Amino acid sequence: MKFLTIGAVALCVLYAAAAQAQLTRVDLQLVARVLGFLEKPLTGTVRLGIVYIPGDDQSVHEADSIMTLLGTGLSAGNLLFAPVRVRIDQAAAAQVDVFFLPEGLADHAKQISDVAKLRKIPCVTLDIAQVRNGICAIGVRVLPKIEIYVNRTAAEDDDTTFGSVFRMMITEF
Amino acid sequence: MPIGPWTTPVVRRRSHMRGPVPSRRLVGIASIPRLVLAVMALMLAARSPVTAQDIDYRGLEQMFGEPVTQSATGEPQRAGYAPVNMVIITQDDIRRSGATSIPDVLQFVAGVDVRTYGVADAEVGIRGYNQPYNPRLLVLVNGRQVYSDDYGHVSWFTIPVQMEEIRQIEVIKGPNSALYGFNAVSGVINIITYSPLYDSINTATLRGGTQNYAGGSAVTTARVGDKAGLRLSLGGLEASDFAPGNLTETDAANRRSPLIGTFNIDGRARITPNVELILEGSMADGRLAEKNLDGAFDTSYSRDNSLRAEITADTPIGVLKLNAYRNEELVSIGAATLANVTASVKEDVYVVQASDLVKLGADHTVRVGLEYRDNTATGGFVNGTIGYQVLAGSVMWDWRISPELSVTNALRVDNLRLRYSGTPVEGSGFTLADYNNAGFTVASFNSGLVFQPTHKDTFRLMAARGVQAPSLVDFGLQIPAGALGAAAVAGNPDVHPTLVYNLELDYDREIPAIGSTSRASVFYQRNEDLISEPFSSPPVVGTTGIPLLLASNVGHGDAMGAEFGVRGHSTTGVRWNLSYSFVVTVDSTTLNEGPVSTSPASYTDSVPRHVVVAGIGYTKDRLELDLMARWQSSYLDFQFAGTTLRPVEVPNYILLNGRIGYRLTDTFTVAATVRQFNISRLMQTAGPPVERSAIVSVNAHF
Repeated sequence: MKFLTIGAVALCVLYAAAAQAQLTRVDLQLVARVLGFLEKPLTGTVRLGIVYIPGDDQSVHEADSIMTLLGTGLSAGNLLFAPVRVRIDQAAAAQVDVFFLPEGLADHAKQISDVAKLRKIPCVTLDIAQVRNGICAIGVRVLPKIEIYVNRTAAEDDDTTFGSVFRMMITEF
Repeated sequence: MPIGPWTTPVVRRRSHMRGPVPSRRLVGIASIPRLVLAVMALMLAARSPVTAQDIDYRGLEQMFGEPVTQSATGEPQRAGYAPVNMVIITQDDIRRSGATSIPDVLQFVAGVDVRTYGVADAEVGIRGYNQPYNPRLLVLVNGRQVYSDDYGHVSWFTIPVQMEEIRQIEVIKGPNSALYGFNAVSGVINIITYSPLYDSINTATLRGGTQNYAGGSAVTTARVGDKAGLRLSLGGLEASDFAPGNLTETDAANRRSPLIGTFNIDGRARITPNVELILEGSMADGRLAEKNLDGAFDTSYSRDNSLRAEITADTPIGVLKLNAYRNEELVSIGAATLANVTASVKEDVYVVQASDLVKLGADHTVRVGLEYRDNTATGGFVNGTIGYQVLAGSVMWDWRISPELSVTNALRVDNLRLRYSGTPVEGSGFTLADYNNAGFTVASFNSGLVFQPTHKDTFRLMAARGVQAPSLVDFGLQIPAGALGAAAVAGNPDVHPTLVYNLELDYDREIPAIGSTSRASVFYQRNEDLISEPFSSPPVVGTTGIPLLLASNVGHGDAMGAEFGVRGHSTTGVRWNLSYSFVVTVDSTTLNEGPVSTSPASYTDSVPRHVVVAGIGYTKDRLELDLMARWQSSYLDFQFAGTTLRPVEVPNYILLNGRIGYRLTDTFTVAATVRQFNISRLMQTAGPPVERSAIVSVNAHF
């Protein structure tokens, strides 16, 4: 039993490490550049809300990793990301400009979708399935090739609209 | 220079346009280099710090990690997704090449054939069919044509753009008439400059070297917030042309050394967040020795002016664009052999283009366009005024079937109506009514399928039909018997356009292990109703019994070929490229069937079948080193030998160029470029041997 516990913990650590490895500063720089192409482009200091589920160790760990990655801020394009940790159950009151959905929120992400729609706040993720499902408006992928995804319905709901030229160069759902 | 796999009907025989050179023109030419120096001095004295923004070619390029283009379909695309065989030459490529002209850059692109006839005279062809006054290539600067409608010819050295203000040169191989219309049959070269609305470019360059070369350029931009921007550029050069070699005494005497000055102003404004306005004007004065279509040399004196206005609006029904421009060209030719022909011409072309580009749903992008074109040429060589009007409609549909697969189809229909006021030459048999009732309606298409089964692999399958319209000279040249010889020379209002069919398959493969991308291409091209300009046409008997040279359709030709290439770079600062291109052209025409050659267009033999291009470069801190090589097999060119054309076989040759650049400070860079360092004099054409040259440049970048 002891070995099983140790094994399970090790797997969790490895999984968390793998999840952390999936997100890099390059991913966030791409996110920043994409937000610069909004019809109402974000510039200057932008509060990036890192959403997590309290009590979910994996989610908390992932949020911590992203906060560490961003440090005191990450500059790209015309904006500076200032990270803010956001409890998913308190997202409606969070003082942020953009929601960032880490992977692994699963069905809980719907709460953010509702808040983003209500408060007209862009939602960004690396979890493309959440974009395809209309939970999050914008998805980005750096590897193996840079791809940008936008869910048109979610984007309209969030008032996250892009110019025609940009739309022609990305994948829309 | 790491340019790898991707990334004149008879003369412009302007030889019939001889005459005294207006002194005001020479004054104009001479004043421009001084103006360059004055502006450089001003720029050195007053820096203008302007911060570039991130929404434009550069911003998109940085975001996607690859160049972007609109030249393939009119739709903005990542280069890798474009349904054409396109090579994009970046500003870095241009700088590292050490090139002082665009043909110098193109010489190291696989599948591109460059013939250097002088210090400021070159002909560029793509995949065969190159010839003096090549009418088969469409060249644009920011979407404005820079070829002349008289012969469909490009005067490369008077294009009003400085090397330092070019963001990228987009080379499309194969026909693209469905987007651009006539002339886009061998390919399209679109020169994209920096935008003053988004880019900050302040630079001045002085160059000096062998052949008494002295030149310079200056580019500056200024912006008013993010609402408006202005780009000014000017440049000029003076040099001694290559020694005449085996040219005839007449040809040697007809050549004068080049003296060129160009100026451009480009203003752009964002009227509202969704509406942008562009106003652009240019002027170029040039004196340059050139090889005419008949193989003889003369000196051309030209002034080119242009004005362009474009307004773009991003609306709920798509991106609406209205683009209008006027090109004016005044040319006179200096050549003693043309004493009996009026040697000046004035040309005007007006173009208005309207389009709507809209994305429908998530997967479909559609572009509809209308174009109106009106051109005229007035001068003694047409004995009046000749011109035509074109009305064209086009539609493009890009369907992204899945993330891996997309299909693009484009169709365009052009209606051309000829008009002529003047006197047809005696013996041609044509009346004014024949000219004014002439015209045609013709369709062109481009279809392309792009398949990306993995992120490393891209396949492109393309089919196209392009249209080469007869030039104004093909339609309306009027040289009476006795003026240039015993024969009368005439255009033909009944000549048909050349139709070019192209089928091509490309395969791109990324090789991350060595930081490289490779491309393999195979193509087949059919050219129907090839046009012979009047001077080269088989002689016929005119209606009055005199010999007549008449522009005509002379048969068909086929070309097939392949290109293979790889280019890459490492994190250690090394870059490389290697490509091989192969093309075979077979023509079935009535040209040169007699005992004496009458045409320099012997398509079967006039293209080097094998070309290898290689380059290697290295950047370390402030130092840049680049070596470029081109080897090509032999081909056939023609030389005018007194009264007849003489075929000249140009042997295979290897050309080696090198550049070393060193950034002295953040502002100043010095560079030395040696072209053809492997041999002092090299026969690249039937013209004068190309001489080794060394150019030293000092560039200030603010």
